Amino acid sequence: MANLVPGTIAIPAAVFEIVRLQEKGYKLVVNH
Amino acid sequence: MNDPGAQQSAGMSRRTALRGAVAAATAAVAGLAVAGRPSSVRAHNMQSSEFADAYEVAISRSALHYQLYQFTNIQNPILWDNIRNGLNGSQFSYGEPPGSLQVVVQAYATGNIATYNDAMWEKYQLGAKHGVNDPTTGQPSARNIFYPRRTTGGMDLPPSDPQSLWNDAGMVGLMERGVIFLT
Repeated sequence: MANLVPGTIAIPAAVFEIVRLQEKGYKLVVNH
Repeated sequence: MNDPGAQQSAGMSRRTALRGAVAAATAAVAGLAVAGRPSSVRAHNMQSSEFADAYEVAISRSALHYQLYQFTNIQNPILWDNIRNGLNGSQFSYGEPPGSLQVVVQAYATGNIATYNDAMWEKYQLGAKHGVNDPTTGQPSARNIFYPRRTTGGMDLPPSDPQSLWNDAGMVGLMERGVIFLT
């Protein structure tokens, strides 16, 4: 973790986590 | 599927959950500064058991709204203002209490470098590699320009004050408002 800024959380498999968070109720927002 | 708020563990807030991780990371950075030698850097691949419980509590805290940003491109500058505007819209346009909107940013690909500390930016010249210039020098950045506070004031100032926390789109300021960055 020494290479990350304070507060950042390392999560493996980012794309899967995006799916999982949506299944937990998070709304994926437009970002452009 | 699930209401994230319904999964919150009693007695442990998001801030509490993250405080340990923040303190550990801060200590690690401070250690680097004191040692001043690259040889003092040690890789540490966190096991899921080291953060999973606190992370689940953090993302499951009670809130009115839950937003997820997919941040794949460091060259997409609108991310930061979008997050800030979303938080301000909830709080100041709709009159919802602070903390009503929980935001998670999942970075990957080049977006990941926004979560790397200054030592990595300098060592690997990430600014030059990814076309990020330091606004203070106009040169390729050798530090993480996305991380520091961009305004100087706190949440005691009104949103009309350009130096208030509410107008800060830097990662530190956004995290003070509860935004979670994943990498």
